[in-house]
Amino acid sequence: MKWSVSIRQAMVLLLLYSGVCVASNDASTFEALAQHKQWQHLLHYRLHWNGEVYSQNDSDEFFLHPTGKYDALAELNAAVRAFSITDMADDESAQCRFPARYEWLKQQLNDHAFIDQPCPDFDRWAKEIAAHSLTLIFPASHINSPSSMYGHTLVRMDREDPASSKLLAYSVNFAANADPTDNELVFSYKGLTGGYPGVVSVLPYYVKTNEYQHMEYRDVWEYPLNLSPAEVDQFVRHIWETQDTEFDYFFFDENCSYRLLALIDAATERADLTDDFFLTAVPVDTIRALDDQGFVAGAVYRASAASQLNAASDQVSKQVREVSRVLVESDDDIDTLLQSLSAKQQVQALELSHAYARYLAVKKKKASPELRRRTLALLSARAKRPIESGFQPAAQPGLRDDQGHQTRRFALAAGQTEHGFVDLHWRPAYHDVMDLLDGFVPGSQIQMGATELRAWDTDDIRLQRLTVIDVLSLSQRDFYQRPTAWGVSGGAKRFVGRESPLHGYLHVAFGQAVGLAGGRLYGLAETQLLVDNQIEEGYQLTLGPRAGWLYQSHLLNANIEGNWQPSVAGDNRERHEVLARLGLRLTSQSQLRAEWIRQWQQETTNNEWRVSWQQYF
Amino acid sequence: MKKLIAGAALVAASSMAMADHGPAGCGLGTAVVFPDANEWHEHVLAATTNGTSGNQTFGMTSGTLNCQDANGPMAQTQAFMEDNMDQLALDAAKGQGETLAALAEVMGVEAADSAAFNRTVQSNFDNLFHADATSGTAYEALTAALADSEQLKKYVG
Repeated sequence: MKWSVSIRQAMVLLLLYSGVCVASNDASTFEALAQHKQWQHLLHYRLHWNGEVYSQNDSDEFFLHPTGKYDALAELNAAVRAFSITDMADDESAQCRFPARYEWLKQQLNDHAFIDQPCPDFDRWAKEIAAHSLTLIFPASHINSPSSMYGHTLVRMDREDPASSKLLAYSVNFAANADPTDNELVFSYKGLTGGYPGVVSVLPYYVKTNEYQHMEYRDVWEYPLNLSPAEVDQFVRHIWETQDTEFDYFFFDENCSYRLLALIDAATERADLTDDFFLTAVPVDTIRALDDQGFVAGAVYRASAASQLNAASDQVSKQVREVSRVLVESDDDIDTLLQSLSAKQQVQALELSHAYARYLAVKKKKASPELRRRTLALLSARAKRPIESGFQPAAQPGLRDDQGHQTRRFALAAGQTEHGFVDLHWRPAYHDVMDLLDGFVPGSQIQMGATELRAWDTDDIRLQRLTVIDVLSLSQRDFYQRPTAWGVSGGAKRFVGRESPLHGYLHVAFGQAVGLAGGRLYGLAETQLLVDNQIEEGYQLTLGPRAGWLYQSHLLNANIEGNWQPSVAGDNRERHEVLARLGLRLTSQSQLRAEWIRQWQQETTNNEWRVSWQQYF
Repeated sequence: MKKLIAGAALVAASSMAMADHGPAGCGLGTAVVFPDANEWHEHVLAATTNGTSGNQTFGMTSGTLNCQDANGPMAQTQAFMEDNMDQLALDAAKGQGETLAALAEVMGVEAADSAAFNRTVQSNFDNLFHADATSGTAYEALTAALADSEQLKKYVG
């Protein structure tokens, strides 16, 4: 039901000329109420960077007063008047449009005789949702997409009967209403600048599990929240109020996670969750915010198709694995291929083969009519064997994403080239492969905004490095999955040496990684573009191999890497580099690190070593 | 409109023709199993933004996405199958699973009958899921299979 503009105008006129009068002794009460935290939360008023307080909702439909976006008191007065009107048709009254505000004002003004108006549309909708409790849903980062470390959050509205299907429960999702015709660059730009409106939607949870579990291969963490049924009812009422309205949407602050917290804030006076987020809201931090205020009652793990495939593959013999792969890759008769296996092994091989076929179609984009037909034939063969595979589900990881190190990092370093130096390092987000591993995907890295200031023993201070973006994904091959390892980084930095000027750079690399000696061995083809007037012709384009070994564990991280970059265009100097790094965990939020780097540029060689202390906060 | 191959049941054809006049996107019966996945946005949309596009919905109806007039368990069953073909195919082959349990719940299958329901779906796999199957034909095959069972025919009215 859309609250049409004409009705809204009529309502405004009614308000201006209505006989409903507000007693003068209410004035001070109303002023206090308008400043009440809960009224501010219900209307999404927030202190903005320019020092003004106004609502983050951009739609006229969200307010009863023409200046309601900026004037909490005018909006409150308008609401009290509108909620007092009694002669509207069913579903047309302001009470039906803003049931959460109405409920709250009714409680606050208990001597004001409001008369409940019938709202059959809302009642039907709320009954269909049948929310009894809320669960925060957090799709974990997935293996080969470091950007997903930022994650997403949504809220599932669970029914009272614990046996009812979670897939059929409705979930509340806040997302940028992106234009599907925009390419990724436009998309990123608009997302960063608030070019897309953010909208709340309500959809069955299966829509999301199909996306995350089966298409994106992301594990999902579900956090039941301990809100009372009355608070859950108020949450549902408030969601209804956001219908057909738009909020600002920015990647880094007013994103999905921030808005969900704001919706929970609006549902209960016990919550003030958005207070902590002024500049950035990383989804995993929202879980911590809920946890800090005592709203998280547990955590449930939902394994992705990839995790299930890995877990199942560990439960069978090599022979079964081999057969399962041949089942997909050959066109031979399925029953003949299965002959050598026992009845139970046949079922296991068929289930593994289906998972492998889906992996090829979804992740390797090998979708073809032949593969599709083969997948159906494999399932058909599975259906003809009505016994159970006996596969145990994937085990819950020891640590969740929200139990990893904190999002921000500060570091203090001391080191030496031809001179000694001290570094101050600050990184707003998020994780690199040398950071503490607990709670993160091994081999994944995403950093933004890392800034480093260097003070030399000769008393000058310089910007040493500014990382705009630095993504590295060293996903390793396993029996079924052959992900591409890749990396992209860009920003400004200096070569080793006190006299090196800043230069702009962009590095792009693709390759493979394999498990070896407890760590992973990786080989990438990397191309680098360097831009600065210190470089002949102003730029250099290089292309060459980058290879190394990375070891990550709870206590210790180690990395050795070599990078050979012969010139392709521009400046013709050859550049090579080798580095070795070691990280030692001190506490759950701090680490000691040592690094050594050697660079060759044509005839010159430079060394640098440094020791640093990293603190996460 | 997807062309139906010769040999597809006439009932299916008629149900799909009816679906043509139904509300857009609601149990159209045209979803196939394992369609090609398009992943252009995988890395970008997986980030914070998680952009939605076009399928804004407020769950305004009876448990179906974008479905304005779906009423009763049959329309919901069809809509659920439309949205979950891939997962249903796997669960049907295994004779159990979360998505199959959800389908049973949508159809109102009682706990006492769920084992029989699972068995029936598994043994009728080839009728429900084949290269030319759509959610429309799968729905018809499912109701036909249930109607054949003394124990389960009560669920197809």
